[in-house]
Parts: sequence; C-alpha cells; structure tokens
Amino acid sequence: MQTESSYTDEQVLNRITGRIPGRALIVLGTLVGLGLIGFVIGLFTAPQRTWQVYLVNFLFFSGLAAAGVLFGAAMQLAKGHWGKSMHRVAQGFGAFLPASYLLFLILYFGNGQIFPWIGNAVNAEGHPLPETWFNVGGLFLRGAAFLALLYILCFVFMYYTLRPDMPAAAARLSGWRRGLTDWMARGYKGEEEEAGRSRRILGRLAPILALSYAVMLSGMAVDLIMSLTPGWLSVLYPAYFFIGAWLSALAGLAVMATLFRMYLGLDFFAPNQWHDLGKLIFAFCIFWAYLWFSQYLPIWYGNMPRETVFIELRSLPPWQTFSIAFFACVFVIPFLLLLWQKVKMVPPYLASVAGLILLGLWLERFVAVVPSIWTEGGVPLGVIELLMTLGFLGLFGICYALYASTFPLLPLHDSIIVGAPRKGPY
Amino acid sequence: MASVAGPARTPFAKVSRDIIGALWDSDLRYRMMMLILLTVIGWAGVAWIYQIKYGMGTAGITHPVMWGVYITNFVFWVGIAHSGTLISAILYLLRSGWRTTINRAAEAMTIFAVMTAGLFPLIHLGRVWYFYFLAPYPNQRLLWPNFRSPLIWDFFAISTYFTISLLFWYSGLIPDLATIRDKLKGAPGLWGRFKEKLYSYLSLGWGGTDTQWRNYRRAYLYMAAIATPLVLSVHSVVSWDFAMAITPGWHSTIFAPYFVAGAIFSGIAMVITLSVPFRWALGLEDYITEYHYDNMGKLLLLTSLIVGYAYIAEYFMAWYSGDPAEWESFRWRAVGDYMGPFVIMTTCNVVIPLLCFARRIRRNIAAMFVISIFVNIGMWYERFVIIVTSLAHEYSPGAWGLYKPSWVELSITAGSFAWFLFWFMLFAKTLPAISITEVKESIAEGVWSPGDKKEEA
Repeated sequence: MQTESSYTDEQVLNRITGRIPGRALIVLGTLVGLGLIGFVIGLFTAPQRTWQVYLVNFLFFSGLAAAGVLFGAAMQLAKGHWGKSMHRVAQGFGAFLPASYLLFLILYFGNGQIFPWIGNAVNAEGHPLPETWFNVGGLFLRGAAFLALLYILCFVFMYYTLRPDMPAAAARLSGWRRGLTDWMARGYKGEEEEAGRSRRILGRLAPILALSYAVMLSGMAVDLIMSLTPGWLSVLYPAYFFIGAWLSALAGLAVMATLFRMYLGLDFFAPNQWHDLGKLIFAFCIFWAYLWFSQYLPIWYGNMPRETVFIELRSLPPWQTFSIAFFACVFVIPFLLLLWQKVKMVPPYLASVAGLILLGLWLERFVAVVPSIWTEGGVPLGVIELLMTLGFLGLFGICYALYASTFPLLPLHDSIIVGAPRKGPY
Repeated sequence: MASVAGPARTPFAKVSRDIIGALWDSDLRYRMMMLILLTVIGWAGVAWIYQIKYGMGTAGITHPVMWGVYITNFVFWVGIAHSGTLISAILYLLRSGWRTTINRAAEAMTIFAVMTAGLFPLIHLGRVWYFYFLAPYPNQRLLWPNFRSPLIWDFFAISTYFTISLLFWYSGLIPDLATIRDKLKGAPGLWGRFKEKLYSYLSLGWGGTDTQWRNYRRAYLYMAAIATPLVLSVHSVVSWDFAMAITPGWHSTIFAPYFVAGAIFSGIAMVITLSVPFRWALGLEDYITEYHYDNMGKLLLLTSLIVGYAYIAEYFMAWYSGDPAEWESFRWRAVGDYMGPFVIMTTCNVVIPLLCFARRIRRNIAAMFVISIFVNIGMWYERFVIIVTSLAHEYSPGAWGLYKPSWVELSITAGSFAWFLFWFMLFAKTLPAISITEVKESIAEGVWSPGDKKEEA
C-alpha cells in the first residue's frame, strides 16, 4: 500500500480496467432486469405505486448525479486542495445524467398518476393556482429544457476535467472506449497547454455550474415535489432539496471511494483527506438538519392550513415512523457517530455512516413524494417499490461502472486546482 | 522555539513594530473625527431623552407600522455583527489563511455592533427602565417572560453570541497584549507606567511557554467550534422575530438561512468599508492587501447571490402558491408607496455586487470600497423594506397605512453609526488591530507575508 508519496502516471493508468468486471456486470444487469420486471408488472397491477416510486428514484438518483459533478466545481471555487484528487470519483455519478434525462421524458407517460392538480388546480384554501405554471405540457417542456441545460453544463465540465488526460488513457483502451477517448482528445496540443486551457475554462465554468445547479434543482423540487401538494407554500423547500442532493453526493463519494479501496485496491486517498471528507459530511448533516428545522418551525408556529397541509400528513401515522426514520438516518445517528475522529478517518466506518445517510435521503424523498400522491391507506412500500429501486440502482451502477472503467480516477494533470499533491499531506 | 522556522521575508520584529506602532499616537485628524462622533452621539442622546420625556409619539411609529427604524437598526446591527465570527471561527476551521490580518478588526466590529444593536430594543421599549422585564429571573410579581415569544429567544441568542464573541476576541488578544506589555517595560512617565500596568493586567500573566501555547491553541479551536453554530443561530432567531408572525411578507420558511446570508453579506461589506480608511490611517497597507479584498469580494458575491436567490424565490412562491394576500403584499412592496426603498435594496444588494465576478474589480481596493458602501445602504434598506412594507400592507385593507421616520428616529439612527464608529476608533488606537501572533505564524508557515498581494490567478 502506497502511503507516502503521489502515484505515478503509470500507476494511475494501470488501474483503468477498460471493461466492467464480469461479476459487477452480472450483478448490475440483474438489478436493471429486476427493475424492468417490477416496472412492467407494476404498470399493469398498480400504476400509481409504480409511477410514484419511479419519481422518488428519479429525484434521488438525478440529484446525486448532478451534485457529484458539482463536487469538482465546489472544490475549485473554494480552493479545496484536499478534494482535488477526490473529484473524479464523485464526478462519475454524472455518467447517470443522460439516463436521467431519458427517465424524465418517460415520466411524462405517468403524469396522470402523479400530479393531483391536473383538472383541479386550486390550493388548500380553494384559491386557483396560476394556469401558466400548472399545466402538464408546460411542466415537461420547461423541465426538458432546463434539465438539458444543466446536464450539458455538467458534461462540458466533466469533459474539460478529463481532456488533459485523454491521450494517455486512450492508449490503454480499445473499442468504443478508444473511440470516445480519441474524440475527447481531438486537436490535443500537449499536456501543459491542455491542462492550462482546461483550468481557465473550468475556472469560468465552475460558478456557472454551481448557480445552474441551485436554480435547476430548485425547479425540480417545485415541479416534482411541491406541486404534488397544490398550493403548498414553503420558500425554503427548493434549497432544502438541493442541499439534500449535495449531501447525498458527499455520502456517495465516501461509499464509492471506500468500495474502490476495499475491492479494487485503489488506495488513492490519504488519511487527512478521509478526515476532511468526514468533516464535510458532518457539517452538511448539521446544515441539512438546520434547513429542515428552519422550515418546520415557522410552519408549526404559524399553523396556517396552506402550510401545515404538507407537514401534518407526514407527522401522523402511518407516515410518522418514516419521517422519524429519515431524520434519524440523515442527522441524528450520523451526527453522534461523526463526532468521533476515528469514524471520519477509517474508510469503512465513514462509508457505513455515509450509507446510512444515503438510505435516509432516499427515505426522505419517499416521504416527500408518496404521501402527496397516494390516495389509499397504509404505506405503499412492497415488492414493486423494492424492484423499481433496485432497477434504478443497477442503472446508476452501470453508468458509473462505464465511467470508472474508461477514465483515470485520479487526475494525471492538475486541471482542477494547481499546487496540491495527488496524495499525501497537503 | 527552535523548531519554528525563521522569518521568510519580513522580520518578526518589524511586524510587532508596525502593528504596535499604530497604537496610542492620536493626531489632529483622529481627534477631530472623535469630536465629530461624540457630537453626533450627544445629539442622539438628546433625541432619546426627548423621546423619553414626551413619549413614543415623538417617533414616527404608529398603527399599523409599530416596528419602524428602531427595529430596522436593530436587525441591521446584529447583521453587521456576523462577519466577525464568520471570519474568526468558520474561516479558522476552514483553514483559510487570508483571514489573518482582518479577523481582529472584524471581531472587534462584532462586539461593537452587538453593543449598538442591543440599544435599540431598549430605545424601542419607550419606558427603558423596565428593560429587566426581559430577563428571566424569578420575582414576587411573577413577571416571567413568555418563552414562546421569539423576542425572548432573541434575548438569549444575542446575549450568548455577545458572550462567546467577547471571550473569543479576548482569548485571541492575550499573546498580543503580552507582546505590548513586554514592549512597554520600563516606559517613562505616569502614563507609560499606567499603560504597562494595564497591559500587564490584561495579558493574564502570559509568558509564551509551551504549555500556555498548547492550551491557547486548544482553547481557540474549541471556541471556534462553539462559535460556529452561533453564526447560524443568532440571525436565524432574529429572523424568527418576523417569520413566526403570520404577516404576509414576514411569514416565510426561508427567513432563517436568508437572514444569516444577509447578515454575513452586510458584515463583510462593513469590514471592507472600515478596513479601507483604517489601513490607510494606521499605515497598515502592507498587511491588508489586494489579496484580502479579492477574497472578501468572493464572499460578498457568494452571499449576494444567496440573498438574490431568496428575493426571487419569495416572489416566485407568492405567485405560485395562488395566495392573494401573499401576492398582494409582495406586489405592493415592489410597486407601492415604498418602491424607492425596494429599488435601492435590489440594486445595491443584487445588481451592484455582480461586479465582483470580475477579478480586476475584486482586487481594486477603491472599487471594493464603493461597492461595500452600496451594500451597506442596500442591506439597511432591506431590513426597512421587510419590516415596514409588510406591516403597512397586511390582510385587511382597512388597516393599511404608511410610515415615515421622525427626526427623533433619524437622529438616533445617525447616533448609532457614530456610537459604533466611536468604539471602533477607540479600539484601533488601544489594541492591536491586526493579530501580531497570527501574522507571524503566517510568515513562519510560508502562507502569506506582509506586502504579498498574491498576484497570480
């Protein structure tokens, strides 16, 4: 295990597998297959359940993917040297974005099952809602346009972080991977010039990406969560949503980096980097809880029907248990555990806490979406929901595996930040 | 200590000389300035006495706007108090080296801003001698405060913030006070001996031993960790003074983070506004350079974008929710009788700070000074707009009304600025305005040294 100095280019490039390992492909393919089976069976037997859990997973995984790309931009903006060598691992989540776009378009076919305001757009107090906003065509048109914009930005960002390393990576690849990396390296002008050019472009792109992320995910929260409770008013909710997605990316990064380390021997990160990642997750757990409380308190105190309609449903059985569970998984338990330095510094411990946070955030999306749509009693959480979620996980995993098997997971050239070693003390 | 690296470019002695050299010597400009400030404070005192004698009718507040300029000032000054802890505690935890030369002044600003803010609830009370009703002490008249009132939460939040900020500031000062004490050893004259005694007393017997440094470092780190949540909590609680009411324009879930971002925004702006004349007057140009303004400009831009996001989100949600009262409140805020303050607020807080996207502007000290003044004005107006327009235009059209501040309120407002500046100027001449210890540490660690503008992109 190399712990003292940076990895050489050769060592980094040797870890590009050029193919998804057979076992991983079988597992992920099976998951996607199970998801498809669940989706088809669900459409015929319980369409509302199918579409609502489809929406839950779409929101969870799309947020994770966009925030994964944002990690590199955030490190660049904040000059977070410690995260420089970690951003490629998080950026891989962005490989899911094309699939996410397609999934959004497919969601159109389930609109009748998920948007309660269709045909009766009034709020809890009976006031009509603006028709210019509350119409299905408009929702999907603006959604398609804005998501395209955000996802293209994410891809451009990914492109420029990867481009300086492409010729070196291409030399070790074959087939479509070779074609893709050759295309990415077209017109290559030498390592130094390319790294400098990428750095300049990324410097300009990072704030634009961060702003777009906040605005686009706010729109996603408004249209795909808030509108499910027509007229529900909480100005903070969109920000709470995108901070949750950001936290999921941080937790996802900890999980993926640990998996690489444990199963593929990719021990890229130094103890102080794990410590910093743990501290960042700890800070955002607290910040997420702060936003949750900032939203809850004025609604509880004001006690106005147009606001309490959302909270009340989730505070009473049968949803109460799920609300308590997600709050415990995202904040209470991680907060207590991450107080220990050891939990932050030992990757398997950190990954376990991060996994719990991911579970909590999935539950949070579930509790945000389903109670607003579900018109029958009880909590619709059964085989269909399980299969659909596994299917999304499999699809996300395949996209990530394609990325991880094609590109170097440690930057060869400092396209994000100058002056920090790839590994070791900084 | 042998293990500490020697000075890289600037000798440690020069740092002590430069920073301590700026103390005590008060020239004519300084005295004139102090005289002007004292005159304004005196005038504000007269206005307050007039208000106490003739009653709250002398202030412009009346039904339906019962919170006016006094509460605007209160929120404004609490906001100003935010940058100190942000720069000292949060940036310390984030290992942001650039905070070194501005943290001391920002912390001092925090203390003085809270001292200023704390006056306004008292002034607003009218019968100020009953201020102790706020304090939760048991007594025979059973005057227990209402713990469900956000105003009481505020009392606790701000007093905690003040206590921690003061302790944090003072802890950071101890090694520097000892340096001054050592410099003053054997100072001639009665005044010299008095100063020596005073700094000796304040430095708490600091000798610079290993144990003392270790304890000092640990205490400073823990205090930074304790102070960090306070940055969020204090202005969140201030925002709940409004958000807990069901008044349209006030009752909003975004208020807590939005007020916190606004407070940091205005606080950073005030640090910039004060540091520009301050570095010039004390001859500390080498210590607060373009490098620091560049970074402060980035923070200013970030918080401006958050504030802008909140403005837009509030309007969008008011329209989107289909609630007529909410929408009317926001519509009137933009195009009603208070359109002027609204335009000032949005222009100064959202449009002008966009200039900070340009690195060239962030590194231009004069430009940053001008932008920061606009932000100060804009943030004062933001509080005015939120407080006054919401109260003036609530649910019932029969209860709508307008508010105009009286001369008493304006005088006291001017007095609050003078009061704040008075303390700040006193601080600049009696305590090291830049942390001697941290500058020396920066030099030793090669992070930054005086005069370094970090020109490279």
